[in-house]
Amino acid sequence: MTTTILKIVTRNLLFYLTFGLLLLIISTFVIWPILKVVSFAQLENFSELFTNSRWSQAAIHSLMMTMISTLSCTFVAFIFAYTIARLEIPCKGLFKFITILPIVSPPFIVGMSYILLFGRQGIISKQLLNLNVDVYGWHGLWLVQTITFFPYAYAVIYGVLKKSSPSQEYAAYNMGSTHWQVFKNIVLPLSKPGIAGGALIAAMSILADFGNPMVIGGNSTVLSTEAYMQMIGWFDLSSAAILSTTLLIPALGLFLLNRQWVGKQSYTTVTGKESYSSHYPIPSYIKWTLFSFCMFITVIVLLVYGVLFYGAFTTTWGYNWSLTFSNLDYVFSKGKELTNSIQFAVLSSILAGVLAFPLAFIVQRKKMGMNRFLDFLSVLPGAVPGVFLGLGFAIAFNAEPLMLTGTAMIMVIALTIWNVPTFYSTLLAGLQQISSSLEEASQNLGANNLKTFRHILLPLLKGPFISGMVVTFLRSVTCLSVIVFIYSAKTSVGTVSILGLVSNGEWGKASSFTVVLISIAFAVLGISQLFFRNKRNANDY
Amino acid sequence: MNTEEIIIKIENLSKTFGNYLAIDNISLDIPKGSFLTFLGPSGCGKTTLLRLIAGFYEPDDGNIYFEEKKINELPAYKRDTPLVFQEYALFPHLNVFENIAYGLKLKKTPKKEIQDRVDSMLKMFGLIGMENRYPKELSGGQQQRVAFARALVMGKNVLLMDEPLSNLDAKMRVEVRDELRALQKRFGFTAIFVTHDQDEALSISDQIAVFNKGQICQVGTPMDIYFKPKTKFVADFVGTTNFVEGKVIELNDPFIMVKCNDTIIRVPQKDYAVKMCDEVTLVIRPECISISAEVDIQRNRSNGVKGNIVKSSFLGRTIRYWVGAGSMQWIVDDFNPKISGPLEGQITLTLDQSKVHLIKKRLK
Repeated sequence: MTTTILKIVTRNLLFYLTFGLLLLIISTFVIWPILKVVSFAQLENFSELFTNSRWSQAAIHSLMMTMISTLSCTFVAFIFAYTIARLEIPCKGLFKFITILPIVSPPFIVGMSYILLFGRQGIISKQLLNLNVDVYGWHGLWLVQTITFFPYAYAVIYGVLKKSSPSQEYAAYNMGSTHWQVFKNIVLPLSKPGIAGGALIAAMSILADFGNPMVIGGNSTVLSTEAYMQMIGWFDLSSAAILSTTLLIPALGLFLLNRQWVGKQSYTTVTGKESYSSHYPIPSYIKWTLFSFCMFITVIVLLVYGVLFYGAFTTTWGYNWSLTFSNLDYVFSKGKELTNSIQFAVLSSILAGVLAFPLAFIVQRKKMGMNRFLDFLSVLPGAVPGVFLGLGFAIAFNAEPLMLTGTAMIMVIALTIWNVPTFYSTLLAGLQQISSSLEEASQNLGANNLKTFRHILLPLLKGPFISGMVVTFLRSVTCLSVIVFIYSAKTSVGTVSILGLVSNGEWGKASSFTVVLISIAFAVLGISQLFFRNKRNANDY
Repeated sequence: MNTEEIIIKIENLSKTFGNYLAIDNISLDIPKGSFLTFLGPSGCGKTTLLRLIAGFYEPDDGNIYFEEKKINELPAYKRDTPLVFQEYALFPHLNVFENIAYGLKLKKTPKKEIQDRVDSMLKMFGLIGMENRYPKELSGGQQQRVAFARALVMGKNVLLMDEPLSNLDAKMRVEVRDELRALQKRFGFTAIFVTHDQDEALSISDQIAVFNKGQICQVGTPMDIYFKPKTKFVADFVGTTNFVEGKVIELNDPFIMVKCNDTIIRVPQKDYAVKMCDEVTLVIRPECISISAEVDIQRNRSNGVKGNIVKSSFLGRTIRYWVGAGSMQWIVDDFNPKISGPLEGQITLTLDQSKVHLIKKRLK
């Protein structure tokens, strides 16, 4: 018995070593920082949440904002998804483009534009209407969060709507249902998993968001910004830990809900028999109402980006509207921040891939019995709000044996860990699509594991690998929350500079910097798209 | 063909998945150059055994020998047992040529030789001009040919096939199986073929091994399997059959007289080890019974049964009748149906006694 166990272990030595190493990395850079923050917050100090009115306000704001923005995000997302997936309308390409825009942009961009449009020096509020209103606060944040995060919910809902076959709807029409009945009894129930999943993704993002509340929250702080204030303003680590932990609890709750409930519900009826190519036509007044709604949102999003570009070339927003390149000059004088942004993003996208691949491979291919646990660990960093993760890194790696404070390494590692869940999920989905019989066929023809990996798996996973790296790069370049606690003078990045410029009211420079970051993001996205298209043409699989 | 020479020997092999016993103590000798089919319902262990031979699983117990060498722990990539997969498993990122050449390249075969051998495969399978296509750009039948070419190009003594025809349409399936048999005879490799389709198994094989619940119920020639099944399971799985329960009442060499309800059926003695009073099951195929409208049969006419037609179904070349006789229902195929329509009412069945087969009841 022991000899067989020994035999199994030696034969899979490489595998067990990898497995152990992965566990070590995850424990050190995920579990350890989380525990550090949670244990830093003394239990008795939590009572302050209720006694300190600023804190209880922040907690209530966080929860309320998450609730109302999630509702509005999901609403907008569903209409977008339904319109794009089901209706024959023009401008589909434009609508689709609108839904990816916020994903490749820094998270606070909508907030910034909002101020440029409606703020004290806003182009609409001051120039056009000559008003002097206080736009900071929860109304503005609600609008901004809706515009920022509806694309996240849209992606999930669209996926489900697109997959569901129209044959059930035809069946319902065939039995005499009206359009409204079909929608209420068939379409809506069948898209429930998508709606729930999309809403949860949006809720998680809104709850954890730091950039927008920081920019336009004004006096009504939320948990993430309040934690930041405590840490940066008063160097009060304990308070920051309490606030972040308070933020972690609902975030983990949403995460678990998403995993346990939505993950298991799937009504996608993939029959393999696609007999109906098109959907049953919808009355044109409904169609055009939905179209107008999407167009309205699209115009807002375009306005957000337009005003930002305008701001980037404006001398002094609100006072001197003459065009200038001086803002751009300023950005390039801060070349260090820009190169840092790019360097860290490139490194973390490579490292995240290196880490995510063995995780995805073991979970998908090796039936070990520990798969669910490993899967959980792999997506866990996605459940942790960025601010919390950053704080965790700041506390955990500020002492021996891992003294990393102020180094570039801590920035890269934090961004890597933060991106592992997305990269992992992309690779996992890619692996699931590769039938294991392909690997068997390769072995059967004489290729050992290494050769099979090189000749079969790697080429087939090229797509997921590239898209994982691009997404990680984009998320890293535009990331603010994770690094706001761990950057130093030497390792500061673009987003941090923008935050500083925004709080000083230097809108021109801030917009300019943002425009440069977005341009970099788009350039990378464009190159990868081009690369993909060429690959597709070469061999379509 | 030297049937004495054993190429693969399987000895008391067992394999479990969790609590599920997939292979239950199987032993089997596979003669060199033969076409052997593993036949059985899904989940019977036939594919598992094939995969054990290919080295995708390791046995829990027992041994596998390949040309007298024990290969239990030999990794799949060292076994030289090319396999044609059910879903073909063509590499989607490689074109037809690269797919077929994959194994040869791994063996570091010289470029010129690869070119020649792949070319001859392309020619043989009618794939000339498709070298640069990707699997997605091929029809199902073409993909399947590439899968065969990829395995055969290795030029090994053995070819494993896991339901390779099941994704083809019915007509093509018959075509390809005949080609496959011709190919096997031409090259003389040992073929191990997994299928759940009895027609396929009967038409293509030298030997059939019928699987059930992780065990092999019977190994034999297609004729033996069809006409002399050893168990009710085999008889039932391979073709339609009438089972008649009875009791041996007289041993009257060369016949065994079996009393079934109120009829006495005469069974030719073919080494059946039966004694008086043994409980037996008779296996009678629907096409081994003739049906006639005559009702008054002579008392001494052997193996005649009177009955009533319950229903009938016209299938083109046959009419299938369901005939009630006492407590029993017979299925009878009439291969030369009369143009005037199916028979009705009272009829007489006559059993072709040479094809009546006897199975001894297993002692529980």
